[in-house]
Parts: sequence; structure tokens; C-alpha cells
Amino acid sequence: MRVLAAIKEVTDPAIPIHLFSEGPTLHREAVPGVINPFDEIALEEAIRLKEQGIAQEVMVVGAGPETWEGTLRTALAMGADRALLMRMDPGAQPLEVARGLAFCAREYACDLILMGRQGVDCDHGVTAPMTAGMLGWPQATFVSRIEFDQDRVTVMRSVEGGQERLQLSLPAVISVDLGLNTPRYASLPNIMKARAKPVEVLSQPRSQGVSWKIAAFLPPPARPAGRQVASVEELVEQLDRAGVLP
Amino acid sequence: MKVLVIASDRLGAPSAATARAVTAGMQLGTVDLLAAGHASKDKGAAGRLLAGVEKVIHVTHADEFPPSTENLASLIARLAPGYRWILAVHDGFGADLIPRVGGLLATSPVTQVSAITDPVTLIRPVHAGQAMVRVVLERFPALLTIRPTAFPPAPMSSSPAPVMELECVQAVPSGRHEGFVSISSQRPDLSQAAIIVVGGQGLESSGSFAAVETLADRLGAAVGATRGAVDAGLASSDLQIGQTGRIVAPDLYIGLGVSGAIQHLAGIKDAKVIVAINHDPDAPLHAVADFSLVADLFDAAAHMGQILSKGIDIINLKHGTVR
Ligand SMILES: Cc1cc2nc3c(=O)[nH]c(=O)nc-3n(C[C@H](O)[C@H](O)[C@H](O)COP(=O)(O)OP(=O)(O)OC[C@H]3O[C@@H](n4cnc5c(N)ncnc54)[C@H](O)[C@@H]3O)c2cc1C
Ligand SMILES: Nc1ncnc2c1ncn2[C@@H]1O[C@H](COP(=O)(O)O)[C@@H](O)[C@H]1O
Repeated sequence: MRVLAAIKEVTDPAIPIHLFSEGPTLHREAVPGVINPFDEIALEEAIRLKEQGIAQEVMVVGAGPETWEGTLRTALAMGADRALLMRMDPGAQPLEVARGLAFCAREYACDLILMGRQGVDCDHGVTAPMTAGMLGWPQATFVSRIEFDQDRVTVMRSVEGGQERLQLSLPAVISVDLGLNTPRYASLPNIMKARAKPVEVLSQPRSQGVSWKIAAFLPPPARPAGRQVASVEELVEQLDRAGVLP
Repeated sequence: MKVLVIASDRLGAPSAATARAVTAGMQLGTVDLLAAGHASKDKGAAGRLLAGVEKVIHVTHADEFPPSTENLASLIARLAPGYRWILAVHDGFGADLIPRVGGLLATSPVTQVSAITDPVTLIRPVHAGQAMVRVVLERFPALLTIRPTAFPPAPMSSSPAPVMELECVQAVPSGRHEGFVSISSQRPDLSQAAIIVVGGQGLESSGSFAAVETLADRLGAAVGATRGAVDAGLASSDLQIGQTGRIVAPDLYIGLGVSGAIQHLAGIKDAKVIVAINHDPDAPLHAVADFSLVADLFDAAAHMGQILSKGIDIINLKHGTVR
């Protein structure tokens, strides 16, 4: 089995955003790029499948600018066998990305695509089902457990009120949630080795135009300033006055 | 112009969030409601009574229950030419289904819509709500998911909308539904609760969530958690609130030992009143809270429970508040 793990580079989510000005582009301070946290989980799962002998090869693909090469090398250092960079604008819409991923899955005869449930920058959360729809493959999203039995895979999906158990046949697309695993760190020797591995560059399939345009980035709605209370008594009194206690 | 709203009901009972999606739909055009899951057992009857619904499309399925996302998406893609917008709630059902329809129709959906400025202009959060974007639709039918907390539920009407039946056939390779492990709780559901008590990693020193649960039960509240608490093994992951958990909008949110990380705040900004109880005065939750108390959470929660059980009138008397 060949597994394709989709890797998006995002700005480090641990560093808060400060919008400099409103407008059609996001004006903010420079923040280092990291692997989207969910994609780290997807890649970790792919590597474990290989370690368990269920997968034979782990490929990673990023659809972005050439500056993503470093991020893809980090994926190689974690344990991916092969890295592809599909050249694309950093602002490419999910439709373009999904077409790129579907193209790679077909071109390289992949049996399983593992992706994140959402990119933590744009928070779309659409690329996995879009890719599955384009390929006509079964899908499972928000997956927090994966079990293999021959060419059948059983997953648990975290949804409102509980967990859905789904059985999929391959090929399939799975998007992963937190809690599936804890991604490993790349070791120093592996980081050194990854430097020597190639990152293959592909060009983007022809664009199909945009579905929507971003007119402006805006600051989030402000909440009215709060107040500090000195005691539990004062807190309860204030809540009672606000009419929010039962 | 016509809007197709997908009822959020594949697995559980018809979700209350469906009524909120209908409100969003009515801000765009005239609404047809597609009922495919549990609600379809009653022929979409619950949806027929939502004011503003012109027609219910009741999806029947001979060989498969509940219908798979894959087959449902194909069916919706076939209905798509009759609509200018197709909309669902951003939950485990809608966020699974709508983008798959997007793959079939070659359109990128706009997800987590939090406001509709006009029928082609929408607002949605990015970067865990640290910025908003104004999005202008360019391709139709447009596919949307909404944040239910941002829209009020549509009222009930006395005249039921007509029903059209449509069969969903098994046409594409699909995941097979093998069961649903529901998390049964005596407490109210996070999406419905008027009061939510949330525990963070600050509870770790006690090794349990008891302080949160006791206060929640005193208040008739739901229990929520931060990822810190989930990772520490104090709470199950379905209680997680935030960018990658549930989005909540209670009248009252009380955070105990919660630092207020961006990713957590992303899920609570629609709460009417936010209370922070944290012994660190620099915890970011204090800065967004309507009422902040710098105190030990265990002392404060226990004390609050005591006051509530005695009746609040005692403090009102003491402080001379006129009611
Ligand atoms: C991609 C991504 C997605 C994420 N999604 C989410 C999400 O959906 N939801 C979420 O919550 N987090 C999420 N996180 C994690 C988030 O960044 C924070 O790590 C997390 O919210 C911290 O949880 P916490 O506030 O419980 O823990 P901490 O940050 O450790 O805070 C604990 C607080 O408790 C206080 N405290 C300790 N003891 C006491 C005491 N006795 N009395 C009073 N106060 C006390 C401390 O002062 C401290 O402020 C995500 C992170 C990433 C990278
Ligand atoms: N540009 C990209 N390159 C590679 N994978 C991507 C890209 N954008 C999104 N993905 C994948 O799709 C998932 C969901 O992203 P999104 O739909 O943008 O929230 C991510 O977690 C990645 O696995």
C-alpha cells in the first residue's frame, strides 16, 4: 500500500496574530512556517502504518510556493520516503489544492490519502472531502482511531454527541483529528539525512478560476471591557444582576 | 432565489441547529429543506414546521440507513442546478458532506459563516478567530456551512410545508456505518446549555474534574473542557471547546483553571457572559472575561457552590441590593 500524506505549511499557531490594517491581504508580522499540526498527525499515522508493515511507502505532497521545501524536508526527516512539491500560490483556493492532491493520488497510484481535518490558518476544513469527491473514493473525516484489517479499514469519527464507527474499503481519503496519535520529533541524524533527499517539484494543473474572493481581512468583533471582582460573593452578586444564574 | 438547507440529522435526532441553518438560509433567499437522516423517519415532519421552509425534500433510502455521505453528496450535486446556495450547519455531518459536494461541483465551499452581509457577501473567521474575512461569492450554486451559534433558530409555524419524496440510491463506493457510540450524560448538551462550566489544566493537581462537575450540577450546567484538560486525561475529547472542538454560545461561561489560549477562545467568543477564575492574574482569559476573579479555583468553586445552595438572596441582603 502506498500512502499519500498531504502537508500544508501554516504560520506557527502558537504566535498570536496582530492585524496591521484592514484590506484584501493579511497584513501581519512575519511568523515562521510550520507543518499544519493536523498534518503532523496524519504523517505520523502514515509512518506508523509503514512501521507496522501495513504500508510500503509514504509519500508527502505540499501544494504551495517553493519556500515550502524546508517544511517538506521536515516531513522527510520525520520518516516520509518521498516528497513532492506542487507549485502553487500560497493563497490557492481549496479547489485547486484538492485537484492537485487528486492528481498526485492517481499519478502515483496511492491507496490512501491521509490529511488534516483543517488547516489552522484558513480554517476551511474542506480539502479532504473535496479530494475524495473528485476521486470518487470513500471518505472519513474527523478520525480519531484507525484500524486495518487486510484492505479494509475501520475508523472512529468524533462527531457531536459521540463517535461514529465507519468501515471503508481502499482506496480512501481520511482526515485526522487531534487525539489520533502524538507526532514524533525528527531526530538530528534524520534531519541531516533529509537534507540530502530530493524534493520533487511538479507544476500545478491548469487553474479553474476562483469560487469566491476575499474582499477584506477585518479585526474580530470586540467584546466590551470586563471587570475584576474581589470575591466570590461579589461575583455571584454580579452574575445574579446580569440575570444569568438559574 | 432558492436556497437548499440540509437538515443536520444524519445520526442523532433532528438537530436543533437545523432551525438556525434555516434562519441563515432565509437571509439568502427562499428555503427548501432536505431531510435525510433520522428526521426522515418522520418524513421530515419536524422540519415542515419551521417557519420559512417552503418545501421539505424527504430523502428515502431502500438499502442503506443512515445514507452515506458519499451517496447523499451525489444526490445533492444532482439537485444543485435548481439552487443558488446550498447550506448546512458546520458540524460532524455538514462539514463532512458540503465539501464533498464541492468536489463534485468543482466549487470551494465557504465554511463557518458567522454573518451574512448580503446574499453574496459573507463573514467568516480565520486563524482561530483572530481575524475575520469578508468573502464575496463568485460561483453559483455557492456552498456554505454556518456556525450555528451565530444565527437564532427559526420560529415554528402552524402550517406544515409540503413534502416531496426523493430516493437516495447507492451509487458510489461509500463508508459503511457500523455503529454510533453515544456519550450519554445526565448533564445538558454543550450546544444547548444556558450555562457551561469549563475546566482547564488547572484541575490537574486534583487528578479529577470533580470541582467542575460539582459546580456544574449546582448550576444545572453543561461541562466543557480545554484541550489541556483533555490531554491531561481529565475529560473526554467530545467535551473540548475551541477551534478544534465545539463552538459554544451559552448565556454564562465559567472557566476554572483555564489560561485562555487563542484556540480555546475561538470557541467561546459568542458567550454572553464570560467568567474567568484563575490564580494567575496574567492568564489571557482574564482579559476577555466580563468578570474575572484572581483566586484558587478549588476554593472559589467550592465557595460558589455553597453560596448557590444557600440561595443568592443572602448576599443580596448583605450587599443591600434592591431587586
Ligand atoms: C492546532 C491546535 C488546536 C488547538 N485546539 C484547541 C481547542 O480546540 N481547544 C482548546 O482548549 N485548546 C486547543 N489547543 C490548545 C491550546 O493552545 C492550549 O494549549 C490549551 O487551550 C490550554 O489549556 P488550559 O488552559 O487548560 O491549560 P494551561 O494553558 O496550562 O492553563 C492552565 C491554567 O490554570 C491555572 N491554574 C492552575 N492551577 C490553578 C488553581 N489551583 N487555581 C486557579 N487557577 C489555576 C494556571 O494559572 C493556568 O493559567 C489547540 C492547539 C493547537 C496547536
Ligand atoms: N496547500 C496544501 N498543500 C497540501 N495539503 C493541503 C494544502 N491545503 C490543505 N491541505 C490538506 O488539507 C487539509 C485541510 O485543509 P483545509 O481544507 O485548507 O482546512 C490540511 O490539513 C492538509 O492536509
